[in-house]
Amino acid sequence: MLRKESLDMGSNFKTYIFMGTITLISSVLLSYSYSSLKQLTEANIKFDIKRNIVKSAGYDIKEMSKDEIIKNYTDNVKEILLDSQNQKVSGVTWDQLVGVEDKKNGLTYFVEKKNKIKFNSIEDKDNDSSIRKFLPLFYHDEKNAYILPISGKGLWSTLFGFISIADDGNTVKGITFYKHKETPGLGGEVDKKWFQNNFIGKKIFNDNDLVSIRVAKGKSTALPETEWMHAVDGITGATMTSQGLTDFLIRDLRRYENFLREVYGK
Amino acid sequence: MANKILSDPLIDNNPITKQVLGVCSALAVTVKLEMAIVMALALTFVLTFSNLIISILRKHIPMNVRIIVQLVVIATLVILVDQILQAYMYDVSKQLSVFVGLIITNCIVMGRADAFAMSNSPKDSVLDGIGNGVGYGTILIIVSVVRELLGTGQIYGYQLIPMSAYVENGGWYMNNGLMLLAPGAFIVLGLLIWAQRTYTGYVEE
Repeated sequence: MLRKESLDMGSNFKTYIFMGTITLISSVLLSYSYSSLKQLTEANIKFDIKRNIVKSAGYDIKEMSKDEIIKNYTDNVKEILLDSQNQKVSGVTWDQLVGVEDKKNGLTYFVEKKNKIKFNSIEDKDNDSSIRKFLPLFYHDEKNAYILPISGKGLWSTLFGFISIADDGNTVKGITFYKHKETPGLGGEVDKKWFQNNFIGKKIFNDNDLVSIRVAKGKSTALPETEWMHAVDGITGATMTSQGLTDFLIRDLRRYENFLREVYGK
Repeated sequence: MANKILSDPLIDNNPITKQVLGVCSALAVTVKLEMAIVMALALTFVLTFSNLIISILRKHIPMNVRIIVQLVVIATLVILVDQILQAYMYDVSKQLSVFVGLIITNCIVMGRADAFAMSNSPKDSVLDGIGNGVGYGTILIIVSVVRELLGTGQIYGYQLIPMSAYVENGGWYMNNGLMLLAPGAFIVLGLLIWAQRTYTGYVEE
């Protein structure tokens, strides 16, 4: 009896040692590979954002090389930072900022990199005033377009993208998404040209009201004719993604409302 | 014997068409040939090395936690692949999105680790891993060629069907949107299984 117990103890002990060793090796290996590849991955993400800004300005980036895109960005794109009252901020640059997603509603707040960890731990991000929040936007000289970051919940995931608005402050020039995990073929269609092209030429203001663009259920032409300028065709089989997009688009545009109104002139 | 281990999973005992494993990823990543190739390579890599490592450790792995040990090994390899893809093939890794991570739960990898590598020599296990990886990859590539060609008129991103042949340019051809959706993959996969079983004469009991 005693002997059996000690045997069990022995084999349990061996199991612990084995598991401990294998977990240790695995975590050391992964931390090493993560830290040595980190720079490359971050450069990729940074370039990806630049590329998406250039793309939403209205360029066909498939025809452009990596260097051309970077050159286009450096030559033409002005990075503008606003505070939450939409007043221009100086002294801080876009490179110093980092986007922090509010997991509850997919809203992205932009704060200084050094504040990221602290801001992440704040529960009520919207009403917090201890950390300075910024609203970045980009102006493309050649296309005369303002490019605004947008993000919000679809069905499975948060969608991140940009909307580009002409310098009349009203006409949409393009929309792109650079990160999401919606179902390929359904919600994932937001990536597709047919869907994104539908936004081009639509208006975000209805006379004096900021109405944003609505993703219709089915064809936008099924809506009353007065809404045609403010709606696009929905995606079949992706009601939740379409609805989510509609909701966060107007929410994010409202954050820039004062600025957009100033440009719009009403 | 060695040849048999390598060639068996290609046709006679193909993980997808015979064992019907790994179908989830076979549906998800076969819209484009490029994605299918990267996925096939990633899975072959993971499968080969997980088989190798588990086979080397097989005499030391405590039986009561063997599944956990297998998972740790597989998960480590998959995260490694994911990190490498993110660093060197960012666009592809974005398109594959969650499916690289999901290799961890791919039944083929777990199945081969537990059924083969736990009781065979490292050399045979490596061959088994390569064989199954290539068997899986072959099916993925066939399905994706059919889907990409019929769904978008392209193969590996190159337009194969001339633009002038499309209806909107006054031609007669239209892309088949169904091929880009999951049911399209089911149909192609079903036809492949049919063809394969007619060839091998295998009947489900």
